Amino acid sequence: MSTDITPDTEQSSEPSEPSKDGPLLSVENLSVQYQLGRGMTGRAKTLTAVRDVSFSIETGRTLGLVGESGSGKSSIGRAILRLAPVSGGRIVFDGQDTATFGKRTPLSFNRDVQVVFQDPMSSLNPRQTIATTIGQAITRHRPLSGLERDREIEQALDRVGLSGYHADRYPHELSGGQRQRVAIARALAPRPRLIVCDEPVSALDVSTQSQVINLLMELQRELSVSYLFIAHDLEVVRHISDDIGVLYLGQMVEAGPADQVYRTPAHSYTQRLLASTLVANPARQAARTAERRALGADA
Amino acid sequence: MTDQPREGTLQSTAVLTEQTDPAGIEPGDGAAAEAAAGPRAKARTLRRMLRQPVTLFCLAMLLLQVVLALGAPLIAPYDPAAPNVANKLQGPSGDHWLGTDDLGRDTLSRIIYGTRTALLASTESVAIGLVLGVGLGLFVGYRGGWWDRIGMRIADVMQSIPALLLALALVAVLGSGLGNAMLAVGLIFAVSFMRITRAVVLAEREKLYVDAARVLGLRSSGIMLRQVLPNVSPPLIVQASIALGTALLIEATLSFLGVGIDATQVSWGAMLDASRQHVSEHPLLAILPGAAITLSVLAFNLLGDGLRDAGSPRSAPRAGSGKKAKLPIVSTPVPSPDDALLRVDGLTVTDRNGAQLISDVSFHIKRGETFGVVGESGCGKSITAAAILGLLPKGVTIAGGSIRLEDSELAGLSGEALRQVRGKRIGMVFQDPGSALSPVHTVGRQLTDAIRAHSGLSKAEAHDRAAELLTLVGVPNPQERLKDYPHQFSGGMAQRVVIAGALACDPELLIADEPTTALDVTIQAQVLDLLASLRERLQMSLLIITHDLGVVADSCDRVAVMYAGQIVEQRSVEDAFAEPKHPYTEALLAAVPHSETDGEPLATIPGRVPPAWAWPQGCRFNPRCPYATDDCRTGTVPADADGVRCLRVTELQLAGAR
Repeated sequence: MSTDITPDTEQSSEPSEPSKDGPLLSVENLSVQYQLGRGMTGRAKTLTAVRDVSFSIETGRTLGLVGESGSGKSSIGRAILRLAPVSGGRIVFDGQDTATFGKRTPLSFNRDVQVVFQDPMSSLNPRQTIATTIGQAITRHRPLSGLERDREIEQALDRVGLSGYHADRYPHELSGGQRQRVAIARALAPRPRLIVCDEPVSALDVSTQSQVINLLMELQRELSVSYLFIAHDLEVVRHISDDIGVLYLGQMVEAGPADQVYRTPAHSYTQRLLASTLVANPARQAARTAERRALGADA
Repeated sequence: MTDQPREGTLQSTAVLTEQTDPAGIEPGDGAAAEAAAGPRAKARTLRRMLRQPVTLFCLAMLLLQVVLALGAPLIAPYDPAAPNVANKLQGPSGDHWLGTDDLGRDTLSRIIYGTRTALLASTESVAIGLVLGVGLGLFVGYRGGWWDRIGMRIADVMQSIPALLLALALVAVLGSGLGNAMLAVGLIFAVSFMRITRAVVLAEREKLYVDAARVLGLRSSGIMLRQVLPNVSPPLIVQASIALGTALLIEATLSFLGVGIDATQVSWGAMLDASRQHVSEHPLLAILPGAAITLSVLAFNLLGDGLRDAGSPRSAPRAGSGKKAKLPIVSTPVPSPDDALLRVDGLTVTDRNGAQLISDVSFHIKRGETFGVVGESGCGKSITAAAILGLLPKGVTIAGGSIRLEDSELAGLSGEALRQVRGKRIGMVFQDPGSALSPVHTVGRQLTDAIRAHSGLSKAEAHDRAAELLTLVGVPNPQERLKDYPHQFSGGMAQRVVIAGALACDPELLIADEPTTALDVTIQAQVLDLLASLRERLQMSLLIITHDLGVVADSCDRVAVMYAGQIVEQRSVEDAFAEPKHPYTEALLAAVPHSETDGEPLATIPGRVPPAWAWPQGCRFNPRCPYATDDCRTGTVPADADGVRCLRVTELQLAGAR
């Protein structure tokens, strides 16, 4: 397993010890339950968002998770990021069970695991300039002088295709695609090894969407970063992912290499999802529509 | 002048089309304009402030007060406490500009010294309130749980105590003096500051940027102070400035009652008290301190609003919004058959600055046809729909062209005439069913209202019709569901209800603006199937506005591709997608991921849609077009018989959907 995830590792303040063989992230029988407060009878009500889900991601690879809203795909991402409660199972990152962290997440984990959310408007602080947003992501993990920090910010922006003058802008002054680039730059700033991408392109226009997808894939080749790519669009997920997991009502109903899941879907839900995914080709779409109506008649 | 730098980027962007270098992805033509626009944030805040005359006036008032308070001994012509009984109760004169009071003290000097007391008292109490209240509010809001519950109960108790009573009690306990009285007022203020802070923190805490900060490992204190607090500031600024005014009033009240200040201090309230016995002969004695109080409180209250607006980065005026795009309105008529239901000809819509949001848009929709309008956001798709429905935002007007529904002209209609068309002959389905339905009324109420607005049906008949409509759109158990509120419906079911509402009066044309964008993939397919079957059963025409080429491929007969306010291609979906004639159509199709794009980079369109005030000269797509030549950058590009606006339409061989 490689640790040279960044071009210059000598600057890393706390180099993580090279891990044992095994995947970068492995999720074993994960369940996520939310407390919904207490009902009138005093019994605690819970909502099980994720039930017994297992998967693993190798260094430099991408696992795509598809499913509808409410299928628990975002909850899995949030559980890995320690933003959602884990009620069962284990999340092992780089050989270390994250349950052993206790209440305080170690800084090294915060450095290694980052996130890009769906809506870049609400994931960027509206009252901070881009430079502030990226600057604090850098300096939290690598204390730098003001000059060095400014240089790093410029590099970070350059890497995601933005110019230096964007640094002084506020999020609302940027387009949706540019905002998402800033969010990606922020996620990359601590030099992570895994990025959870929670519907990163769903809010974008098709041309902007392809720009961001290309950027993510380019960065993966360059930095060997791993992605957990969460989306509802099977075509997008298939394009970017090495493996795909299909979630339905909190459970993983199908998983496998991207091509296999896409070409020969085994589970009926995956088939329905595939048939419902629209393609921009009228002839092929007509065939899909027919297939979808046939499946719909069965359901 | 802005054309020069843009010319420079044209060359580079044209070459970059297929390139995947991330550094070269978005050097859009907006970049040159952007680089020139906008100085640093603080200067912008100042400039926004200078544009608000009321705020300026309030700031001047505040400045005057501060100067008077600090420089009182230098400015005041007399000692405010020195009695001169010989000169008592004089009117304004050269020696005493505003006269003297019953002890012969100079009124002007007393007003000036009174400013000192007033400012000191209000800033003291508000400062105490802010420090305590914001601190506690941040803490309980961010921590939540038991801290929150205990904090809020204490706040409830505190707020049930009148500030004035608490002030009197504290003065009784701690001894008299303005400081003690204002301490009490500050404590009461702290509670309201805490409530506001907590409420905003609770809302902000759920925002994704806070999650992102936590994922970055930022410290809780840092997240609270540097991330959340700035977003709490707008309501706090307003509240604090109003509190300044309130505190000033309380100080005056206490002084009037003779509680707050001791005899050596000068206060406007005490001046009012002293003037009581002489008010009929010497009204100026009461009017002057009264005016000082009123003006100060008013200035504080107005200042808050002004500061909040000036401090928000969002209230920045759009760069360049002042200049007009000087584009000629060139109408190129596109032939339309006689049996068209809707005919839009040369439609041009401008905003209040004269920028053309859409230019010369012409299309028709036949009876029973589904027509798609597709393009990136900012290309004028929704404005087109809004123009047809007469729902253009304020300041946006139809500058030219016509919209004909069969033989009635819709452009320029208003009031009742418009109402007879909108909702009756044309129905509308919006993107987000959650916001298209009112959360406080049952679905039944909303549907029957829509039905009765355009028909003479009785309540019972309308109710039956509503149930019938729900059956039509495939909502199971309609009689029961009419009693439900919108939040009890899933996204897909809610969109069916919205569609039912649009169908209330058997419209001839249904306009659906991104009808499935907010829905899940499988639900999206169901809603599209529903629209298709409704069109057939009800003999309607459909206008679907979408950014999703898949939706067009699935549902539409013909499609108009819109770019930068113009239709650049308008043909049958099969033809346009199989053999696109406009480079923009080709680029959109190529950008969609599909089964053959395994691992290889997706095609992108460099740059982005320019804003309406900066549509490029010549072909509007030329800065992003890989095929653009010098001719494309000058002159106007007319639409041909297929509605294609491209000078090179005959020579280009473009790739279709794969």
